Amino acid sequence: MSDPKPTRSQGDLAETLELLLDKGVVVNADIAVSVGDTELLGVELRAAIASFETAAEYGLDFPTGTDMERVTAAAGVDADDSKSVLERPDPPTTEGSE
Amino acid sequence: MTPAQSQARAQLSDGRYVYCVVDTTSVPSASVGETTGIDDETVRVVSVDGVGAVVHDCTSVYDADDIDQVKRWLVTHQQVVDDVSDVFGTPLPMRFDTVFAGGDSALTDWLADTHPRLRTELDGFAGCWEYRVTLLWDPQPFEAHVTATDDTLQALEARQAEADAGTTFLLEKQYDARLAERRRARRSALASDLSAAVEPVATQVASQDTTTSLRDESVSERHTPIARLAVLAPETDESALGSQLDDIAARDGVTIRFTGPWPPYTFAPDICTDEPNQA
Repeated sequence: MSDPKPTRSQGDLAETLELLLDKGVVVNADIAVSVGDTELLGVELRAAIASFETAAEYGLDFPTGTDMERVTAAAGVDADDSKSVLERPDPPTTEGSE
Repeated sequence: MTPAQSQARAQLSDGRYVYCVVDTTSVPSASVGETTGIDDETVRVVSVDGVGAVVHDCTSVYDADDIDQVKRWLVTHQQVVDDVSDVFGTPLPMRFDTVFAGGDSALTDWLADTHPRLRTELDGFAGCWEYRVTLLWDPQPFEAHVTATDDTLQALEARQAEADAGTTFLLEKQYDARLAERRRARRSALASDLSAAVEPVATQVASQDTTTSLRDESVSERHTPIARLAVLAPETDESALGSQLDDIAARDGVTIRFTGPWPPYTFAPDICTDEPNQA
């Protein structure tokens, strides 16, 4: 690198999204009303931003309880297109085996 | 979500969206500056004995099906945290969409209950920032070098020239396996060298998953992320950290992404009200 200074412009948005959705102080208290929601929101954002092809390529996992209809809507794909990603089929059995 | 939280969410009428917690010991909490919050809300600081929560008033959590809307919220959230960091120094950054019910009184009670813990964390992070380092590698220059200099690869290539079709196939497999082995060793060495390079100037280092699902269009497809580190370091060591990374970036096929300074998101703790004094 010609300039050893860190930057906040290159790849800024992707980094911002990751930091704000995955990191940061989590408050476990009765008065904190949104605990647990950002995890789901993060999944939706990832699905939309990364595209389903990329999600599939990287083996993006969706947590139990994820509203998949909402994820597909957020990602801008219809249910049929996303089926191969969302409902990963079992790996094909070896030919000739039971 | 506990039943109490579900109930609180349903009845949220006097919510406080919390961006971060800051040290207000030496700066009046009214000095929040010109920053504007999510959806143009007014940002202010609710402070208890030198520990302040940067908030705006709200009546709901932030959730939308419109992804562009959510992205705007996230960017604005970060902008607020950046602006107040300029005033108060390193903050304890909250995760996006942290909303408290019960107005200022509940928030004040929480600040008082968790005060020792918040104070300890703020003091611990003071003057330090998070830097994010990604090592991206294009293996082509390395492969060109290895195929020209590796004795095993050269020998396999020479044997292929004189072998029949069946043997050639097997030799090609051996050739590919040897090349993959050299490539793996190189990736591993680069990742180790990166960790060794940041270690002298880092207060803490956290290795991050390289298979982020967020698309990054700033690098070519040939470049593969082989190491991602979150580095907590004093602001005064920022240039030293950059210089350390320069040595790695000078290597063939290597590109370093170096971003920051960020609030210490990766190193931020979970804070549980039931254990307020656990520092």
